Formats: sequence, structure tokens, C-alpha cells
Amino acid sequence: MTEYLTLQPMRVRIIALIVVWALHIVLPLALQGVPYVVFILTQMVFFTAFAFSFNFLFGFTRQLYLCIGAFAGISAYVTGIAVRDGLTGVLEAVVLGTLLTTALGWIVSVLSVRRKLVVIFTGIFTLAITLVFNNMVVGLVSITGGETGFRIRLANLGPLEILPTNLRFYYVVTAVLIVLTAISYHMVYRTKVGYAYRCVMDDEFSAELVGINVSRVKTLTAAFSSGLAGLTGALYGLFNQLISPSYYSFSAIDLPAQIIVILGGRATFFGPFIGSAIITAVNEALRFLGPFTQVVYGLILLLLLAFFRNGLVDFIRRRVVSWFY
Amino acid sequence: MDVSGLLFILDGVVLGTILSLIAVGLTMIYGLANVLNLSHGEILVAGTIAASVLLQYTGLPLMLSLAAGVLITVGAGVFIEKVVLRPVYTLEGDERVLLGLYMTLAFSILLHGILITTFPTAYLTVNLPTPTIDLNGIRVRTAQIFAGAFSSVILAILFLFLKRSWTGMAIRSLTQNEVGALLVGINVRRYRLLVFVLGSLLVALAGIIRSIVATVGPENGFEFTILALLVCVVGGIRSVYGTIVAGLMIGVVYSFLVYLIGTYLAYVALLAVVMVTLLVRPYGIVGEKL
Repeated sequence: MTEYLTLQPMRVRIIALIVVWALHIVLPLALQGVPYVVFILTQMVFFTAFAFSFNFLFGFTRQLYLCIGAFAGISAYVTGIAVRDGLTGVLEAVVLGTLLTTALGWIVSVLSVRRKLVVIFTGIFTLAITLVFNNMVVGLVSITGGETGFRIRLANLGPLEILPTNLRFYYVVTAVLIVLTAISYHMVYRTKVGYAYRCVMDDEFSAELVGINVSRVKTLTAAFSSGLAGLTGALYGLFNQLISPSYYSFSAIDLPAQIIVILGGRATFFGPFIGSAIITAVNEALRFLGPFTQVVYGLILLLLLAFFRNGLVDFIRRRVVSWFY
Repeated sequence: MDVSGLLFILDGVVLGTILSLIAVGLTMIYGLANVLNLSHGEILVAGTIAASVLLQYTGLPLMLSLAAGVLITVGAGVFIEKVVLRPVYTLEGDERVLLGLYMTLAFSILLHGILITTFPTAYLTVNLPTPTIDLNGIRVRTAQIFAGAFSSVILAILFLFLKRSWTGMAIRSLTQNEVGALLVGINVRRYRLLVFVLGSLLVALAGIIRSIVATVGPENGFEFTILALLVCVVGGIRSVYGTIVAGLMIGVVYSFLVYLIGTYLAYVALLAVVMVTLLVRPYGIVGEKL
């Protein structure tokens, strides 16, 4: 793992990243005439962002957060309720939701790094959060609208109003995604913190021995990624204009996000992008299955974990790139 | 405290013993295989669904259907050990824990999907022919007492089995020091399978006991898993004794929270209670270092 991260020329990675960004910006312009495709692409970018958040936690610091959907949902409900009841403006509501999930993710991480068995503890705790979130949303019918959720009107996005309606959210999320990948790329590969990250990724114990504050790296990552999940979730709610538990359930967000990360390659920057593109295509192909999709996804996840743990990016590095040298 | 308060305690104790039965299996499997079996609650539901389907459609007698349900659950447990976890056992340490947790989660998603789409209405309720007694105007179902007694007896037998029998001691020794146990000639693979069978048996019985006091439906699996996991964490994940104590504690606390603030908020409060407990005693209430 290490040698690939350090030996691979930096330039290749940056060029690849810029190509991916450019594709994200240009693609919908080319397909603008087909609203359904634009809709699917928007969905894809949302899931790339969710997967990116999960990847940063699970891939880079081995914290298995099984509540990305719940975090996204919490933020979306906060935003949605604030907007619906006219408590705050859209922007303030989104910021509020994001801050809330940031704090929540940070607390869970702080609690779990106190114990040495971080892996298990985080998994259990975040699963419990998912359960609690579902119960609360379904239970507090008077506030959340229960099973059916509630509708919100299309948010005013300010200067972005010049874009056609179906492209607005696409560009908002893409912008969020690009900014955040740029920040995290800079953090991981260009700064001292990045060295700490890569050490923790390779071997936590040795990282601790050379004096890296592993707990701090982990808790900060948790706060950052939970914030990203929250922000994306809030935007997802505004995009769908309907906030209901089925949009934020484990099988609706966490499961695809995890498959994307494992398939694409954990602890890589391109994994979420590649995985998301593939899973979006697969999802379209499986649409006829209806509720049975969950079974297929469970099976895919199981098989990926058993036989293809390292993901496509690693596969390409090992098998394809080596042809050219 | 009035009689209804006492009833809530009784409710809590019964729920607590059921949770202990589920969680003890998790603890033992974790101790031996280093795998936290997240599909534990789902295989419980698989058993109750099998029993309920057999009861509804084949007219099999109650006892036989329940036995078939237990068999299905144990079969699922063996399947997890032999097939699902096979790639996991090739890994060691943290990686094994992580992958084990994750693979069983994936399996539980798969199983849940299959069960909920194939048998969406297979609810199991076992009505025992026990009387309802009148206590100061409040009706008490003796089935509840029976269920509590039943699961307590099972827990007692399990406790004695682990403390006294040779097999039980072998299991405990493997949990405490795997290398040492290997050195004195204990076959890890055999005991791992045994523990999965034992854990599945306990969880199947827990499902049946739960269906005496309430209804178990196809969607309940996840909930059982989470509650049992919280029990495990509070009890200190390696100690069977701690798990039983924590099970009773969480059962009673949860029932009281339901009584005080309602079902939906009770989960939030329970999670908060667990968080505080772990802040005060990071290694569980029994305080065994990991």
C-alpha cells in the first residue's frame, strides 16, 4: 500500500483528479437536453459525496461509521423543518444542519477513541444512531410527518437561478464535492497533517509510537466527514423537495455508499468517483427489481468484501498500470 | 411505587433476560472467533419466521414448528461460520475484527432483504395456556412470569455449563488466552463451530421466549441486534457474567424509559444512558480490561 502512495508520481494523480473534475463539469452540459439523465447524474454526484465521506472515515482512519444516512437525514430534517416553518433562511438552515452533524460525528469519535477497540465500538454506536434516527423520525409524526415525510418548496439558490432548474443542484453538489476533494487532497498529500494521515492509514500502532496524535487525527476526520455527510444530506433534501425516512434509511444511503467505496477502493481519492459511476449504472439496470434490490446489494457487498476488498483503483494500479512499465 | 410500576419492572426483567440470551451468544462468539456477529438478530427472526410459516400453512403442532425454527436458526449460524466467515479467518488482529463485523453486517442485510420480501407478514406469537391473574385490579399475565423464569433457567444452565463442564472451561480458556489454550491441545476450529451452534441455539430460544410476551415480526431483527450489542458493550465485551448483568440493567432501564417518555424517545435516552455509562466505566460495568 505504502509504496504505491509515495512512489506514484504526484503529477499523474493531480492530472487524473483534474480530468475527473472537468468531466463532472462538462458532462451535464452535453446531456442537458435529456432531463432524466441529468437527474441520474445529480443522484450520482450526491452518492459520490456520501461515499467520499464514508471513505474518509473508513478508508483513511478505519472508523466504520454506519450512520452516514442517519447523519444526512438529521441534517436534512433540520434544514427541511427550518425552511418549512420559516424559522431561518435556506443557507442558515443548511449551515445549522451541517454544524449539528459535525458535532455529532465528533462526539461519537471522541467517545470511541477513548476505548482501544475503536473498530467495534464505532460500528455498534453508529448502528444504534441509525436505529434511533429511524425510530424518532417515524415516531415524532407531528414534527417530521412520520413515514410519509413532508414536502418543501424549491429553494432559491441566488445567483445560480440563471441555470436551468435541473442543473442547479447538480452544480451546487459538484462544487461542494470539488472543493472538499481539493481540501482533503491538499491535506493528505501536501501538509504535515497528511503525513500523519498516511501513517495512521498504514499502521496506527507505529504511528502512535512515532508520536502522532492518532486520536486527534481520527476525531478531526470524523468531524470533517460527518460535516460533509450532513451538508450533502441537507442539499439532497432540498434537491428532492421531499424529506422522508425512506430517502435516508440505511439501505438507501449507507449501503450504496459502502458498496461504492469498497468497489472503487477504500483509502483512495478516485475510488468514490469510479465506484459511484459504476453503481449508478448498475442501479439503473436493476431498477426493475424494486424492493428486491436490497437483497442484490447485500449480496454484492458480501461478495466484494470476500473477494475484492482492495477495490478497482488498487486493481488498476497493480494489474493495468504495470503493463506500461 | 404502585403496582403498574412493579409491572414495568417485571416487563424489564423479562426483556432483560431475553436480551442477555441474545447478547451472551454474541459475547461468546466474539471471545472465540474475534467476530462480532451483526446478523445475530436476523437469524433469530429467521427462526421465528420459519416457525410462524410452518404454523400458518402446514398445521404442524406448535412444538414441532418451534423446534423447526430453532433448527433453521442453528443452521443459519453454522452457515455464517462455515461459509460467510471463511475469508475472515485468514486475517488477523484488527483487520479480522473489522472485516468480520462488516461481512456479518452485509449478510444480515442480505438475509433481511430476503426475509422481508418473501415473508412480509410472518409474525410469531405464542399464546401459552396460562391464566391472567387479578392483582389489586391490575391484570397480570402469568405468561410473562413463565417467560422470565424460562430464560433465567436457560441462563443458569449456561452459566453452570461454562463454569463446570470441561467443554465450558475449554471455551472460557480460549476466550482468555488463545495461544495458551492451543498449547494444552484445544481444537480452536471445533470450539468455534460449537460456540456458533450454542449462540444460535440461545438466540433461537430468545426469539421463542420473546414471542411468548410479545410479537416477533420480520422487521425486528435489526432492533434485537442493536439492543444486544449495546448490552455487550455495557457488559464489557468479553465477559459472559457482565453481559447477563448488563442485559438485565438495559432491559429494566429501557422498560422504564418507555413508561416515562414513550417508545420513540426511549431509544434516544437509552443511547444517552449507555454513553454516560461508558464514559464513567470505559471497559463495561464489570470492568474487565480488553
